[in-house]
Amino acid sequence: MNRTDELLLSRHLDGDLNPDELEYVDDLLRTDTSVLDHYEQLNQVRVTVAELPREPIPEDMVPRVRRLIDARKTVPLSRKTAEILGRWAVAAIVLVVSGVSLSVYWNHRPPNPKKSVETVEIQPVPAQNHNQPIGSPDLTGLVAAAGEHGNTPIVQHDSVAVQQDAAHEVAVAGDNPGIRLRSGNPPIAPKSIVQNKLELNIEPLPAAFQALLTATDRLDRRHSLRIHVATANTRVMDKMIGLLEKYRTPEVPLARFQEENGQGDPPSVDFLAFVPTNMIDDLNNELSGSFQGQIERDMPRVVDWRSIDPKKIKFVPQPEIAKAIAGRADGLVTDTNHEKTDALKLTIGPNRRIVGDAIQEPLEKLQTHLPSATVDQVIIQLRSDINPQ
Amino acid sequence: MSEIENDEYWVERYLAGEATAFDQLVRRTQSSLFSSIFRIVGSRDEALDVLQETYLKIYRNLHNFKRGSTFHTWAYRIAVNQSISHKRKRRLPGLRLSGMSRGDDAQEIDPQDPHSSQTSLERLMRQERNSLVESALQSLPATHRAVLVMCDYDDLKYEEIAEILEIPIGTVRSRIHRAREELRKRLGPMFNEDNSDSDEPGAALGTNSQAHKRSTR
Repeated sequence: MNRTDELLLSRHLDGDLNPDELEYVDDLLRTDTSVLDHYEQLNQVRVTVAELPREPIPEDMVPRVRRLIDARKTVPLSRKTAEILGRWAVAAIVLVVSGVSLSVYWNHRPPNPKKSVETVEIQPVPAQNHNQPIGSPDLTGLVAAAGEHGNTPIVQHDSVAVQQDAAHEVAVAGDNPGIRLRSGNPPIAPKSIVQNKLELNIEPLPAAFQALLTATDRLDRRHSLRIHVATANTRVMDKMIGLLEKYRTPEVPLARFQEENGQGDPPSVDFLAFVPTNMIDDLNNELSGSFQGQIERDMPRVVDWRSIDPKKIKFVPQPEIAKAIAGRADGLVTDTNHEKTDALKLTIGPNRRIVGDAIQEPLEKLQTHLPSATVDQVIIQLRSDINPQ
Repeated sequence: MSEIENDEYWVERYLAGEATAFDQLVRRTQSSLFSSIFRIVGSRDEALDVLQETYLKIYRNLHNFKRGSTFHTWAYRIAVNQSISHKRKRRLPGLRLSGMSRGDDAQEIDPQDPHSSQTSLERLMRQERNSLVESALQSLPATHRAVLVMCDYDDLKYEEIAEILEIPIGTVRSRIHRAREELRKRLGPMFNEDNSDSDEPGAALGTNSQAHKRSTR
């Protein structure tokens, strides 16, 4: 029995076969006892999983959820507000996604021996004054974050701290839930938080930015592949790389992130490859024929931040970011779980009409820094304790 | 409770400003979501964390919920994706979380109860069996485990799974099959034991005809 027949058996169990396939499989089951045995065992698996018990839930789940919501409270939007903001949400997604594009672009650039990658360290802001009156618009904050592996915090400060056990969470002094950031997957580590308010003129989006949008589209391909491999066998690894190189689209390089798994365990490697749609099946077949074990494939709309080499990330200097961002968004909070990982969320304060400006300008500013600087993610964060109600 | 007071009714009330309506949504969906999350993440404590994060996400995105959609499906989608995401973050070497560790749920046999011995033994055997299945399930990659749970445990159709995970239906088919194949290999000895204990050939098999599963829906 070949692999295709095995798959048909499984689909047979789920009622997924067309009449021709059904006739073919039924014939197999009648004539080949080994196929029937196989089928029966697959069905036993199905039944066994289906019969696993339902887990009882604690009685205090509602208050637990309530406590969590209160602890991380943001201002929920009314439906009308959300509708108004829909188009700005799209713009914000572009902003965040542009970081990925920039990094891909940066990784693809030929090395420039004259310029070394420079990291601009930005001092954390002082503690927020949580006693400011509701509606105060001057707590604009921004985080430029680097893809960072591991849980080692970069920022340690009296007023801005990264939790040791959760590098993806940033808590500002007093653990004000309104100034808590949560990264996407994997965790990012904050490099800076700036706080300024400056006015800038709005300029049209540069035409060159379209190239980034094109790259973004490519990242959005449904048939992108992310493959996780854990092996100490360099031959296996080389073979995997060879296959991905063979099939990937030439415009986007193969991204690779290696993770050391500690004593006695083989390293894990995440690959991110973009493969033309018509090549996916061929690659799948070759992968299936060549490898066993935990190979995760066909994970669309996933960009692994870790695939970006942190050494290739350069931060936009603080004043430039501040000029670009600050002062234009006085009610915007983005949940950094944007659509590449989970979801992007906007929460808006009272002056929502200028949020669009706040989104467009950073795009322009980031563009002006190419090719001398890239960031892999920009998070606009404003206090969420501004309650328009 | 009247028929009209479904999940969507409480969503509307919440969006209209009734904050406690969200609590109703939690009460109405928590059990089913928790079971599914638990099967994917494999640990009760972690499942509780994921469930809470799921509700936080629902809370924060409820304004995006589209009228005419089914709230439970929408919440389920968030829960499954949260679970998969959680497992990826937790993908640490050597860390295998099992839902039920052997011995944790050992039952004492009451010598005064003539039925106690038998029922306790049956319970222990069932727990042992569930533990084996759990362990095998947890050995699967998160994405494969998720589709299997969605298909076999939560009884979703391929199309529904593809929509929830935003993957092609062909991928759903292959993942489900690979997951079942892997479990078949791991649980083979247990099945053989079951079959040898059974008088009827193929007793563990529900039916041989296609679509018997779907027809029960």
